[in-house]
Amino acid sequence: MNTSIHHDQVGCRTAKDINKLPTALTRKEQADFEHFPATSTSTSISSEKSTPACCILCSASTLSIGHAVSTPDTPDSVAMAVFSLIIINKAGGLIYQREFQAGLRKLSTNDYLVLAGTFHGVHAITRSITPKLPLAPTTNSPAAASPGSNTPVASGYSYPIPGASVSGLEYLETDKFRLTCFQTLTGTKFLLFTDPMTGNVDTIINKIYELYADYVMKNPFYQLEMPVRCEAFDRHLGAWLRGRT
Amino acid sequence: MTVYSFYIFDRHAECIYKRRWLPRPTSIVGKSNQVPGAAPAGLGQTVKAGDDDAKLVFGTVFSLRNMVRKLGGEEDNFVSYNTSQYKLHYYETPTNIKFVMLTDLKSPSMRIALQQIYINLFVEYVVKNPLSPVEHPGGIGVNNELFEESLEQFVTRVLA
Repeated sequence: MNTSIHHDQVGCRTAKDINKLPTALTRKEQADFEHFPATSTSTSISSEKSTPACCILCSASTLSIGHAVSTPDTPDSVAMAVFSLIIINKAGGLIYQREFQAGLRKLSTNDYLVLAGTFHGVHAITRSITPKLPLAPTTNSPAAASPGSNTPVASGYSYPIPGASVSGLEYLETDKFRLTCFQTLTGTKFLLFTDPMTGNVDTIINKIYELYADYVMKNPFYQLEMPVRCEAFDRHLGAWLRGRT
Repeated sequence: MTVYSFYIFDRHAECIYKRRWLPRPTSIVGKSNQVPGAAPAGLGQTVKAGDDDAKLVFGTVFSLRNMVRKLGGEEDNFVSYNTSQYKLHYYETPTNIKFVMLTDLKSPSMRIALQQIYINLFVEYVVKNPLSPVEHPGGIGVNNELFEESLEQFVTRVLA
């Protein structure tokens, strides 16, 4: 599809490039975008309100987001509708919440705090209700014998996938969105709300973790376990997500 | 595909039916990741653990359902979730009866299957049974031979 390649080119441009661009090209692009189906514009208008559109290119890239939502079958999984991101610290407290695109209902700050705490608890329970498959007392399963695995040996049961570690909730699917939870080794949880059709969510969440490590953890003024207020993180996160769509 | 367990909760948060399938060759065909010759564990311990399980499962799906409704709107439905070890499928009827099934990760969406269990088995054999209680105070539960038998058949033949 021609349009998707075109989107990529537009999306990759950073603020610096804007100045170098000839206005004729910008106008041509603007004209191109006007040919988009009417379905995409409704989404783009609502997302334009939330993101500051500083120039034609910025608004163009938000337009492409709206377009990507309407056609999830674009090749190379360019369709990336990321609704919002929540970061929960290891104690279950909400430390970061940001909405990228409209699609989910907006909650009050208090509700987000409750949501973070609830999810933290549910995550622990989903881990503890992992089915335990009983083993024959005499059977010495290879997984149970291997050192360092999570399989309990004494109580005589094994988990469905003996080699893998036992984790809590990783993906949650509903009719309208998909929630991906990534837990770091230190217990911080990243919750990414995306469109159910969005592909490559693991890549997105890994990149977000990378940005978090670079701009939050390496920030000397950031206090551990406290709400994230790092402008650089916000900026890079926004720019990267916009660049991907 | 392997089904590990199946739960029904009524609108009063009571677990009215609970069934676990042990990965024995006789009960489930095509099971994987299990050492051949595995036998059921000591009965007493299993039953006790299962009792707690039902409450935990209910708490989980109840919280997640409310969370999903809050974020996605009233008409959004919680469908399933995965962990690294298992997958939980959820279906709720308009009368707030909740059907929950735990399967392995390879299973496709079981929403239709749960709906079929509700329509073809639960309604037919439990709801339409004049002897079956409407409410289940104190967790009497569905004690219906026909339902249990057909559920067993459904899970072992249709889903396996």
